[in-house]
Amino acid sequence: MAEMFDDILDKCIDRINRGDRLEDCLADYPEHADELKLPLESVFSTRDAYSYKPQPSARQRARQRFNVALRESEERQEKSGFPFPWILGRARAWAVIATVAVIAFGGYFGIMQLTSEEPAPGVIPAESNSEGNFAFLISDAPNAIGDFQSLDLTFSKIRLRQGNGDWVEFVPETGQVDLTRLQNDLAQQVWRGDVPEGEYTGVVLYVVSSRGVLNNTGDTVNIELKGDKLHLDIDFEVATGSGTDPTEFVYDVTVISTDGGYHLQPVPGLSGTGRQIRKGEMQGQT
Amino acid sequence: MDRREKETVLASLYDEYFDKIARYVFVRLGNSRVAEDIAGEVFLKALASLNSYKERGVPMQSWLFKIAHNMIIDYKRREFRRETVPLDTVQMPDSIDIQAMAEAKAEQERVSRALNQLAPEQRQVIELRFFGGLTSEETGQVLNKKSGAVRQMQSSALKKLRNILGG
Repeated sequence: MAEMFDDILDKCIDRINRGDRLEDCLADYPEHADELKLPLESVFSTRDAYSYKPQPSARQRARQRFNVALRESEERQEKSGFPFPWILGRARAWAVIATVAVIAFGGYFGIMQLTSEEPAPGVIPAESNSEGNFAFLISDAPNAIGDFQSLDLTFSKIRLRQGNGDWVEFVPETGQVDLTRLQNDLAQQVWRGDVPEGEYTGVVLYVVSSRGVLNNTGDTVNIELKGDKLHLDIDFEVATGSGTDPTEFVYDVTVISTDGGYHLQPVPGLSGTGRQIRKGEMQGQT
Repeated sequence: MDRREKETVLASLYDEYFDKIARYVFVRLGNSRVAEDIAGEVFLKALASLNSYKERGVPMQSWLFKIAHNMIIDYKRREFRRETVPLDTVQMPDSIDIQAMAEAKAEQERVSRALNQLAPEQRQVIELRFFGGLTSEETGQVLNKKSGAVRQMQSSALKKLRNILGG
């Protein structure tokens, strides 16, 4: 009994941290309300005594320093990632490499263009099924999302990469979500169906468009992303499951403010299975 | 996760966790300017040490609070002498409610005295849970404790705080 009370108290503190009121927590646990009231009031009085928020100017200055350090880190990585630094000083070797690269990539993309409309080999279509073993959800990790009153992400298909390199592909039942309504632990299911059980190593979201309406001006802006896909390398497993117990995969994205605009990218550390989420309201259309 | 992915996660945590870390440091050190400086330094240190971050079930936000905790200890070691500013050199805006400020300060000192009466680990749990906003699992990862132990310390600390603060 004591252990259960500690767990309930802990859950209420999590809810208070997320902004819930004391009354809401007590209403959900009426049999423990008397016992919970005093410690939870202590939580509020302790927190409220320190109603400190950092100065916006201090936060902004620190963010600018961080952004500069991040750019420098990225530049260092690009320089150090080159495998044959001795070539940098040899112009003729560079010319040969550039020529070979142009021929190789030109040939590769030429083949891809011919076959882009046909199902690629090793792609298994998956059918939706309300009792399927796998559910795909989308969530937003707050970053610059607060700049928007709405941010519509529209996507046409999703592919999962199996451990053997083959792909499983499905068309979402809901093809558009508003990321401003899916922040933190809120996530929206966009597809459920049957996929092969086993190990997977990646997910690709095929984006049609990504547009947001800014809070301060009401302007509509396009959100940039690399290519037309959001590609995530991530290991996960799809287990046997059906009915009320599918494997739920949350694909977490974030909008980042950069010089001259906004950029959308996946968040590997917050994506995956086994995430504690709350289901957002169904929205959007296919 | 490769380096690039870790940088993406770290950047995505910035806006939410800068404020939480600054607040956590403020509660520990009582100085808002230092809290803001240290919060900024936490992210720079995290970026510089990203290659040493291994996921292994420890979310990055817990790692950030570990860095903050260590920086607070380092700061306390360096600043063994507290600087005071004579009151007559402090500039106060005209519109400030002096009485409200005094009452808020008194309440803060009352709660601070109450927190000081907790065992050090209980105090750390309260600071990370209430001011850092971490879950009991993330708090356990910062303090190298199991989440069950964190919940027990949390309950005991709250009982004690209730007795000290009254009501």
